[in-house]
This record gives sequence, C-alpha cells and structure tokens, in this order.
Amino acid sequence: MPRTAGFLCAVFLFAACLGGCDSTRYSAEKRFWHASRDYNKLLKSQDTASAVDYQRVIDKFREITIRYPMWPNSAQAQFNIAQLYAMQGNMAKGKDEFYVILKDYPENKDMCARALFMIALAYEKGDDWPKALEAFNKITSGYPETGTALQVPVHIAEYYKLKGKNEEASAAYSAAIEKYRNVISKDPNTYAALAALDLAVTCYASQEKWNEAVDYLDSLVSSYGSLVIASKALFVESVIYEQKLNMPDKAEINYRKIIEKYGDTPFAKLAENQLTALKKTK
Amino acid sequence: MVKAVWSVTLRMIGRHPSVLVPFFLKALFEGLVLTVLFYYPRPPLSVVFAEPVKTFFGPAFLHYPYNFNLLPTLYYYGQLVSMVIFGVIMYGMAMSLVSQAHSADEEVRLFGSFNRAVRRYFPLLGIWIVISVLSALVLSGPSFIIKKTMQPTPAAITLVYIFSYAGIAAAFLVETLFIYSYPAIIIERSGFIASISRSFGMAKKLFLTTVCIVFVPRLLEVLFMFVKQKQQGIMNLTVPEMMLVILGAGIVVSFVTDSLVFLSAANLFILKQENEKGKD
Repeated sequence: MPRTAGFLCAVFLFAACLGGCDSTRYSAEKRFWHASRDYNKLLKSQDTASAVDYQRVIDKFREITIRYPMWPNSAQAQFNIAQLYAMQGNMAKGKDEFYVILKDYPENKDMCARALFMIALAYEKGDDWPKALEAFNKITSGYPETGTALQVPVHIAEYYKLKGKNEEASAAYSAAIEKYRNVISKDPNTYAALAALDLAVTCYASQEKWNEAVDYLDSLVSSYGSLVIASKALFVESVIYEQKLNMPDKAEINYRKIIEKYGDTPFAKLAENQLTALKKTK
Repeated sequence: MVKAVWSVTLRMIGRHPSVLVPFFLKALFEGLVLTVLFYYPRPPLSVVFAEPVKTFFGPAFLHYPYNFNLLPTLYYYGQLVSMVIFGVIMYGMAMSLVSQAHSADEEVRLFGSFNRAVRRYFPLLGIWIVISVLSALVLSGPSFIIKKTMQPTPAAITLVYIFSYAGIAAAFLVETLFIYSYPAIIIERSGFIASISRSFGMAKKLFLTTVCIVFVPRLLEVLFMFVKQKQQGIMNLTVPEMMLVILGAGIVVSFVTDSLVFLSAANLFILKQENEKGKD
C-alpha cells in the first residue's frame, strides 16, 4: 500500500511538473490560433453570424490582450477586436479599439500604421474627410517606413477621383507618383521599392497615362539593369504593351529579353507563360 | 493450431496478468517519450530541444501549431531510441515471463525476468536491428527505386502504391521469420546467429501458424496505418492536438498487437520445444 501511494505521488509530481511547463509565449500562440480559427469561421459566415458569435470571438482575443500584453502578436489580437466591431457596423467602438493599439503598442509601428489606416477609413465612411485626411497624414508622418504609409498617397488620390474632384485627384496622383519615385530611387533593391513600383503604375493606370507609365518603366530598366526591380519593370511594361497599347510585337521582344537577361528571377517564368499565351492568340 | 495457441496465450494472460507488464512498461516509456516531445517547445524542455529543432527542422517548429507537424517525426526518432535502450529488454523480459509461466511451479518473477533480459541485451538488440533494417528495406526500398528511376507517370504511381502495400506484407514476413529468435535467445540462451537459425527452422516448420500469429494482430496496425496516413488532414479538420491523440492511440495499438504477437510466439515456441523433448 505505501509503495502504491509512493508511485501515485511520483506520477502526480511528474504530471504537476509537466503541467507547470507552460510558457507565456506558447500559451499565447495557442490561444491566438484558436481565436483566429473562430475569427476566420466568422468571416466565412458573416451573413448568418449573430452578435453573440461576434462577442465570443472578441472575448477570446480580449483574453489574449489582457493575459499576454507583452506578446508581439497581442497588437494583432487588439486589431482583430477592433475589426470585429467594425464588421458589425459599430464604427465608434471599432475606432476606439483601434486607438487602443496606438496607446498600448506604440513600439509596433506596422500595427499602429494599420490601425490609423482603419481609423481613417472609418472617418471616410462617415463622410468626415478632414479627419480621415488627418489620420492619413499621421501615417505618412509618424510611420513613413511602413507598407501602410506607401498605400496612403494612392488611396487619397483615388478618393478624390471617386468623389469627382478631378483637380485634386490629378494633384494627388502627381504627388503620389513623386513619392513612389523617391522610394524607388532611394533604395531600389528593397521590397518597398518593388511595392512602390506597383503603386506608381496604379497611379498611371488610374489616369490612363499608359505612355507615361511605359516611359517611367523604361527609365527604371535602363537605370537598374541588373536588379530585380528592372526585371519587374520590364515585365509590367511588356504587359502594358500587350494589353493596353495593343503592341504585341514589342511585348514579345520584351518577354524574350526577360527570359534571356533575368532567367533567375520569378518574372522569367511569368514572361514564358505570357509568351505562350501570346503565341496562341496569334 | 492457431486457435489453440491464442487460447493458451489468453488463458495465460488471465492466470498471470503480469506477463503483460513488459508491454505495459514499454507503452509507458513510449508515452513518456511522447509527453516529453509534446512539451518540447516550452521551458524547461525548450532549453534542450530549441537549438536542435531550429537547426535541423527550422525555427517555425518551435511555435504552435507547427510543433504538432513535427511531432510524428520527432516521435519516430524517440521511439527508435526507446526501443534501443528499453524496448528490446522488455521483449526479452516477456519471453522469460512466458517461460516461467510454463514452468512446474508457475511462479512468475518480474525482476528475475528483467535481469535475465538485461544479460541478453546485445543479442536481443541485434535481432531487433536486423528485423528493423530488413523491414525498412522491404517497406521503402522498391518505392525508392521506382521514384528514382521512373518518371512520375500514372503507371509509376500505381506501382509505388502496389509496392507499398506489398512492402507491408513483406515486413510482416520478415518478422515471421525472425520472431522465434527472441524466445531462442532468452529461453534456450542461444547466441545471435544460432537464434536466427533456430527461428528460421521453426518458422519453416510452423510457417502457416506463425504467419497467422504475426499477421492477424498486425492487421490492426495496418488499419491504424491508414488513420496515420490521414493524420495531417484530421489535424487540419479538428485541432492540432489531435496529432497527440493519434500518436497516443498508436501506443495503445502497439501494446495490444505486440502483446498478442510476442506472447503467442513465445507460447508456440515453448509448446514446440516441449513437443520436441517429448519425442526425444
């Protein structure tokens, strides 16, 4: 009997010891995964979801922000809470929750920029453009290195275009293009430069300025011939030739050039596919 | 004959449940390995596991839920270690317990059997290694050759499937041929080579019976193998922790099948031995 009791004690101590092997990080990851799974389910069934369903997911994320405030993804949990309120149409509460990110996670610059963007969108939706613009400007001044800050100029220009304010839109597009050009020329070998190229082309495309786009892309190819950005610029240029300027022969020459010169970049494979499709249409 | 052997085995388990202790201890040890591996991303175990996992598999596997994707691989290695340092001794211990249960006084001594198995550790380990290596070869060798030499055509894929299933049967056949080596090492105190020769001899004489003794319980493992093939899908459909449940169920399945296979083989070995002595 004492031996059995001793054995049971040993098993209990071992289990208790392992039970104590709980780290903050791991528990936070686990809770976050389960909450995110519910969040994704909710996104898929938004039409049928009730307020109780939303609250249940909000509570799960809230628990993470309370239990693990120092965990890096805690800011993402707070962001999801705010989004869940916004999804229910409760923009005021949503905004308040986004502001919590700015207050509680100031070191997480990406998340702060994203929160400010969402706040700006909420004001925009409520037709309070001055406040929205204020929030957008806060992003570009406070968090200029973030990906969200890159999105701001084109978004402002598109807002003006959508509202029919052509003069403002034109000025905003010019300012945006200028900004993206600066980002690319500052350091063309970065992910930000590749993103800026896309956004610059978006600005030209929104204004249907295809020839100007091609000129700019051409200048990038000649300036940064050996870098990835040049292969991307050449590829985008070829697509414009093919689909917008109706110059398939020029597109074909460029696709071949990409395959030859930039064979080790992802754009070589894309160029190959485009070339095959082009031949079929001929 | 097969029914008689199983009947003897089940009656023995009823009379001397302690013959199951080695298999229970083996399962317990494997459970312990699984528990340790389940906790590897967390302190204090992460102190030991973090660096090797990061180096060999990548830093993502230190985080939830990716640690569960790595769990089957880690558990496979853990099982190998567990078999080498503990499992083979437990097989030997089981053989000794069966032998004692057949003795005149029918007294079963756990520690005595354990000592006897420990003393025969190296031949037991040798047999286990031979069985494992041959099984691995017949299981994955043909598929590996097909994949290396043929283009991935539908015919080649079908061939890989056929050889995979044939490989499972061939692995059981390998076990059939070597299964009596364990009782030969413990009960007759044969050496490594002599035990293999004795096992081949017995398997040849009692081929169909041995095939049934090995194949029938192992079919349970085959069924479980199908579940394991779908473990990633099951995990994605439910929760990551499901991987732990599946691996834990595997331990239970092994406990049942190993007990039946090894105890039946040991019983048959002893009955045959008595029969041979009777004839002499």
